[in-house]
Amino acid sequence: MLKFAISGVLCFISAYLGIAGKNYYDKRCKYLRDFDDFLSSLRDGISYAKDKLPQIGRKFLSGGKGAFYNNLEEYICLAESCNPTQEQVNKCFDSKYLSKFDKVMLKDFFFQLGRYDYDTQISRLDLTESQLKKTLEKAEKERKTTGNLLPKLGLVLGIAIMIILA
Amino acid sequence: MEMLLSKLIPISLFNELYRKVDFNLLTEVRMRLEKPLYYAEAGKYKRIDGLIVSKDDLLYTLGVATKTSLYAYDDYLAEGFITYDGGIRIGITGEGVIKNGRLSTLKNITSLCIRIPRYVKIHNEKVDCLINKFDNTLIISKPGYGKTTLLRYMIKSLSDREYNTLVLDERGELSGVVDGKLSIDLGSCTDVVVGVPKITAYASQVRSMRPDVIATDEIFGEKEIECILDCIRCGVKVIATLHSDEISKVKKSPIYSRLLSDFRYVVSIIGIGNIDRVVDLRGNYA
Repeated sequence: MLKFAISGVLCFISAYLGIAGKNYYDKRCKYLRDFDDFLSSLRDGISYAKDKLPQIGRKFLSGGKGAFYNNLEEYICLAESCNPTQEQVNKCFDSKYLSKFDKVMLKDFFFQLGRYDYDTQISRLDLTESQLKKTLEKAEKERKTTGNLLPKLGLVLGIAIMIILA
Repeated sequence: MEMLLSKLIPISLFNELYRKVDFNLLTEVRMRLEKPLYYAEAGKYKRIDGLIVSKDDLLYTLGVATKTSLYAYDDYLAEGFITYDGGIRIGITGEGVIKNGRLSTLKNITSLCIRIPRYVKIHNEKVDCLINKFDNTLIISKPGYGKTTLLRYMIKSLSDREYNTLVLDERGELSGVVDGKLSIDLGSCTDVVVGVPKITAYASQVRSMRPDVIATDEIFGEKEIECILDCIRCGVKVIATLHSDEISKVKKSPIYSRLLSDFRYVVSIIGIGNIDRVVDLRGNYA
């Protein structure tokens, strides 16, 4: 009976870890997609009315929720009150859903944001968008393969543990 | 104003300034790359020894002034200024970037001149008389002597007497408009046009807003004179300021002397709220 209970708990833990793994890939994709949406808003805001960064940011923040929104809010608060330093920006975008490469991309982008004239700002936006496109494609692929595999793997592993223990 | 400056100026510089300055008298702060910090109290320049302005200090102030949105200020940088909250105007010098044959923006900023606006209630019989018998008025003085301060006072006084007063504030300095908010009270009957080239605004706004009075700061160039004279011909009264230390110099100028035929009063200023004299060009001197 005890064996059965232990194997049940282990099966549950294994399945849970699998689901948590999938969750990570889902959230990572959402984070990057939200960043992509923000870049589009930014392009519209900068190009059309030359809106200022805090205005564009606040407008964007009113339309959603999630890890990227939380980080962006922190950054926009800084941009409203002072001229953020590299360390402050780094702290804002230190998300667990990002890889080392993604973090460098975001931190660089947000630190440089608003420090260039219009043409340079737009070309930096283009560059970041093209980098993000590749990253997002890779993340979506990982989500579909590894992300979808993890819960199944967790469940199978859990059942296997149950069978072995039984 | 103290709060705004504490945001705008890097903390190390602001702390030192805070110790030495009477903020009620502060009119200007000058930040020059690798030079000591200067400030002006009631128009008199003073230096803070041992406090050298760094490139980071300049970039910090520029970043705060542009709300981390330098891309939105290219045209202003090309004109050499930025308007910050509360009507604070920041003059900027640096290296010009030329695109398609015109100055597109500035880079490698070397100096910032932070000018603090003042609304001063002016107790002066001459000014009261000007407002009571209001007619086209030209305010002249050297830079930094308080032309804009007097202009603001006259705008508010006339507006409160229910003259529809149209303020052509190309640089946002008169009204302190930032992000659509007026930070300086210019009266209840005042309409403000901000950021529109004055030459365009004269023609379009006179027709659309039907002002009784047009107020404008720092007249410059022949085209503007033409526009002003046109407005006067239309029956709109004009208050304007002009950089010049003496009426005789205005009279000698082939461009600006044309104003004197249509303006009634010329006010010369020798300090903030300190009027030297009011000349009534129809014959009476005050």
